[in-house]
Amino acid sequence: MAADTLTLVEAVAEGLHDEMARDESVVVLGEDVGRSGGVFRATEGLRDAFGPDRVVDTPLTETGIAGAAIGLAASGLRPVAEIQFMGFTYAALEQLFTRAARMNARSRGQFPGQLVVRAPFGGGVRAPDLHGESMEAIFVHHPGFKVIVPSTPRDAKGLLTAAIRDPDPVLFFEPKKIYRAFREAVPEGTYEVPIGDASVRREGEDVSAFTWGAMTRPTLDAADELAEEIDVEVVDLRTLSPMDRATIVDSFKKTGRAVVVHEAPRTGGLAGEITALLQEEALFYQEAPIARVTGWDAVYPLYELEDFQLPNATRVTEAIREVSEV
Amino acid sequence: MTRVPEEYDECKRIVAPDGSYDAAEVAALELDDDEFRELYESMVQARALEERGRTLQRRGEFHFWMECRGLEAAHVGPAAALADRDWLNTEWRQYGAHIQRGRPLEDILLFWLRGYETWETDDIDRMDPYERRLPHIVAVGTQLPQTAGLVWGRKLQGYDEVGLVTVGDGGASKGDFHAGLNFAGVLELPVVFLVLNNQWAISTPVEEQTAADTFAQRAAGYGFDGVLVDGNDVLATYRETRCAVERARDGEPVLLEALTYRRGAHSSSDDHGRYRSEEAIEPWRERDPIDRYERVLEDRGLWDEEYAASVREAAEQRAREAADEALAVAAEQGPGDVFDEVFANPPDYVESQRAELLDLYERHGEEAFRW
Ligand SMILES: Cc1ncc(C[n+]2csc(CCOP(=O)(O)OP(=O)(O)O)c2C)c(N)n1
Repeated sequence: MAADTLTLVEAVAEGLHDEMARDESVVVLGEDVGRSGGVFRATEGLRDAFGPDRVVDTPLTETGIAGAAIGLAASGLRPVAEIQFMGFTYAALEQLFTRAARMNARSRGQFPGQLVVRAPFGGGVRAPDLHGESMEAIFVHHPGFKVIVPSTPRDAKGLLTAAIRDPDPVLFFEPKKIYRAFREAVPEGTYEVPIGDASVRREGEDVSAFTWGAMTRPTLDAADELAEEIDVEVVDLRTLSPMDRATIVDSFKKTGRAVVVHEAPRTGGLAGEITALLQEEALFYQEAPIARVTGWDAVYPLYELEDFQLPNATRVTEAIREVSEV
Repeated sequence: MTRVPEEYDECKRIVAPDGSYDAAEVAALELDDDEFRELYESMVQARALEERGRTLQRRGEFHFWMECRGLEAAHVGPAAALADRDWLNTEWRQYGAHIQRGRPLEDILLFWLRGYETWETDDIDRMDPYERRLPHIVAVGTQLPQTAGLVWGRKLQGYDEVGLVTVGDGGASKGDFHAGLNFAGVLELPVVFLVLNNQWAISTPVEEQTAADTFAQRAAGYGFDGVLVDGNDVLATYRETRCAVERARDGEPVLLEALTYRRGAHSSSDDHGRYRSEEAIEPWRERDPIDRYERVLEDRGLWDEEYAASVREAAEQRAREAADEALAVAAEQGPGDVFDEVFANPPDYVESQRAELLDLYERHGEEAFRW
């Protein structure tokens, strides 16, 4: 396969384009997705390619967008809805929780709810309030969804394709801090990166670092920085629900030490879930307390103060050192 | 296709786009010279502030800015119609409304530097008019039912206060719109709902937001009246809001729609050239609310070139000073602020996280955090 070098957001656009070309039942809807190509340009070019019937600028109502997507899915189409920022999924939660997530169970599989909700998430772009949320845990906690967070262009395209083809409702959260941070070769044509598989980004023997999304980069930076002293394995979860428990547990069994890095607030965050998993599955391999490097339990601070909210390589480095010294 | 107020027979207007007006209607407003001039000066100040904000954003001193030019009459007139004790809940580009209520410019600007707002007093009964507002909440439309609740509460406590709450043509699509108007209608609450129909919600034009001709007509479904007003005529927005406020005071909510047009981009992150042409904006430059109002003032002997220039200069000067001051205040922020007032009564773990961050900061320095 020939490859193009794309940014993460371009890979999303290409993934949508290729799947829409392949499958006529795929439709895209959301605020500003059509004539402007989305506020981050993730749907750029789609309206020109597929017309306003398949790429629809909707009224400003997230509950309407989510509800209509559920109905479209029930009718046999494959909707990919964009919610402009994760913070505005709050307005769609009733539809998502009460309808999308239980469509399959309550119709006994008659209407599986095959839909994708995409939303940019996370901080680091100096945007206003409710634009920096990292609230993936609430969706992971709710049964019935699949939750995906890509961290590379190649994965973004392949995971999005898999999400559109998956029969369940999928929340596809795109880390906007790295939408344009780097380029990567992305295969042409459609391909799937399987849902539910973590990726070991860096192999190591001493400490396992578990992370996803935009935090993958500072975590890899920290691992590089420590390379002389500590051999860090970096596992990018990619899919948060279902979580790749086997890869997480295997890595921990090898190293006996773990740091979990996420930008979401600490309390009730997924680091707690991962820690519990390791306690259940690998307690006797554990050599040191498991460390969490997370956003603080603060209402997301804006502009200059964001710098203090988000984990960075310094914090990750320090946590890795701490768990290796025990 | 953008809509113009002149298309609607029922659209309330005092000053026509060409500056002509019925002198009796203007006289009937019973405004004194200072009040006439104040409306003008608030609009000019809003425009000067907008200019400053855009400049600072381009220079990288502000991260984000919302644009307001062309919308000044829809912002200033309604605010002027409130009594001091009334409430005004707006969205975030309504600089003119806040200026008209006396809010210091640096306070408006600080919102864009820190993302939160401040009040001089925490005692509702001692709040200045400009403080009688709830914070801007970026989730569009959420302010509507909230305002109904606020004035409901005040009413139950025996106060005679009206709430004016605004929403855009986009925000009017949210379920919150229905919830807010329905509560107000059923409970006979003193709320004036104002749809600022500037015909764009970022890139989505109003005709893709609603299939109805006007937003005002929705009021019927809630059991009260809706009024369409020319949003580029400051005297009309003032008069119609004043009438609505009087009715709301008697427990009769009103839905107002100010029909106007967003001439600027949605925000500093928006490139409006991607979805509309310069030609589409032109007819609205001709309907500029500030220019239009100058004719009225001139006829009353309240306006000449010299006055206009001095108002503009003073407004620009104030905007510059306010920006300098706001930037200085914002520069004092430190890492500990992340945790300030997240809780009124903070649990221990928040305090220990604050200590953790401050310790990291002390050991690694500011540089380690900046990206
Ligand atoms: C619930 C919600 N969804 C999406 C957004 C993102 N957003 C911010 S402003 C805006 C358009 C608002 O348009 P409108 O309500 O017409 O007001 P205007 O900005 O034109 O004054 C959108 C979609 C938001 N702030 N809140």
